[in-house]
Order: sequence, then C-alpha cells, then structure tokens
Amino acid sequence: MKKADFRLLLIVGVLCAALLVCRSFFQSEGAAVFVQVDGDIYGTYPLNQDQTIFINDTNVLVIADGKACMSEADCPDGLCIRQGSISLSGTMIVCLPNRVVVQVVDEDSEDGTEEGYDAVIG
Amino acid sequence: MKAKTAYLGMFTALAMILSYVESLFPAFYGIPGVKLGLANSMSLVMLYLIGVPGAFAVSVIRVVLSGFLFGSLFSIAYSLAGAVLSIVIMALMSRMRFFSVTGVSMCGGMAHNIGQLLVAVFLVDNLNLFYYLPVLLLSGLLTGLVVGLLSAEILKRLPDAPDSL
Repeated sequence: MKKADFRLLLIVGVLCAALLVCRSFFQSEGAAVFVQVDGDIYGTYPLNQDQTIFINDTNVLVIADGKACMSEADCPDGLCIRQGSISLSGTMIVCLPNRVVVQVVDEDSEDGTEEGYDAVIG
Repeated sequence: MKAKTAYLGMFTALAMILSYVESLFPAFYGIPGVKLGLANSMSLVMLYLIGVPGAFAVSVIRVVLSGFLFGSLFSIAYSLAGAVLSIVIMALMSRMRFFSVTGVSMCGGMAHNIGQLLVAVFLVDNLNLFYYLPVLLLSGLLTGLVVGLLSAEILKRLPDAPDSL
C-alpha cells in the first residue's frame, strides 16, 4: 500500500464514520412510517398503533410495539424481510424488486409532509 | 488472439467461482445485501495484467453469467451498473498512478456501491435512498480494501502476461 492509499482509507473512513455517528445522535424514535411505492405516496401509518398493512399484494408490513418490519414479500431475494425492524426516525426498509420504500418519519401526518421529508434527507 | 481468449476465459471462470463461493455466505456482515466482492479481484488483476478492455470484458461477462446462474434478471441490472462504474473508475485511477492496487480497489468498491445506489434511486424513484450513501461508501471502502490487498498479493505472485497477448 502507498501513502496515498492510507490517506484515502483514513479520510473517507473517518468522514463516513463521523457522519454515521453524528446522524445516530440526532435520531429518535419516530412517530409514523411513510410508505412509498414506485415514488408515489402509499400511506402514512402511526407506529403507536399495532396493525398489519398489505402493500399492493406484494409486501406485508407489520407494526407492533412501536416498530415496523416487513413480514412477507414476494420478491426473490427477500432482503426487505431480512432488514429487520425499524423505529428510529430516518431509518428505512427498502424492497427494490417491488419498489417499496418504508421510512420512519417524525410527525404523524396524512401525507408525509414536506417538512418531515426534508428533515429526513438532511 | 487465441492465447488472449484462453487467458480471459480462465479469469472469467475464476471470477465466476468466486461469485459462487460468495453467494454461499449471504449477508454475513450484518447488513443485508452487502458483499465482499471477491470476484472483483479478478477484474483488478486483469486490469493490471492486460489492460482496460480485458478487465472490462471479464467484469461484464462474469456479472451476466453468474447473474443467470445464481441470481435473477433483476440482480443483473444492479450488478452490471455497479461493475461498469467500478471498472471505469478503476481504469481511470490506475492510469493516474496515484494509488497502488489497494487504493484503486477501494475507489472501485465505492464506485460499485454508488453505481448500485444510483440504479436503485432511479428504479424506485425515491431520492430518500441517499440515506444509505455513507454506509455504502464505508462498506465499499472496506470491502475494496480487503479485495485490493488480496489482488496485490495475487499480482505479486503471478507472472506477467505472455508477450503474445
């Protein structure tokens, strides 16, 4: 390895790790999950209320104990199920084959307000 | 010409075996979907031994063939985006001679993950996926490091490509 290699490893590694650590400090338990399919809004569901959501016959999202997890999916890889439960704001479950994105948002609104949306990106 | 075909064929076969071996250990790094990318070491070795076109061919053929064998049409699209961006970046980086094999591999690892993320953002039509960027950069950096160190050792032990290539 050259000096430049070490620098790359150190700089990018530290930057990314610092970003992840900082972000985790700002994350708190979210209020709801915001479900999008193919970029379109599918719905927002509060996390404090246990329920089962059927997303277009392709995925089944279960909310229980303030956490959301994908319990069933017809995609070949099943990666969305393996992503486990989410409850911290900003965290998400993605099912790429079915184009389903489930993301935890801070406020419990009808349509996943722009505010919550932007705060999550930042 | 014939010698080159045999050479490329052998390395493509090796890359496919590495893909297969890796597919036997799904997600053992805790993050679903993250892989070491051992097969990329063969593209890297090709890049240094016989140049960009050979490395490009080995990458693309490996992705398409192992996609049909062990994956799905869907996984091919993602792998291809990652592999193509990765090989382009690695070709540029190796030509600049700024990094050694390991540094080039780390750039390739990150480029691979960025390529896949871009395809995902485009297919799912959701910019929120950029949430994963820091994790993906970090994992690309670290898997690239491992693959790069491995490739450097392989290159040290391999004879130069025959002159006839």
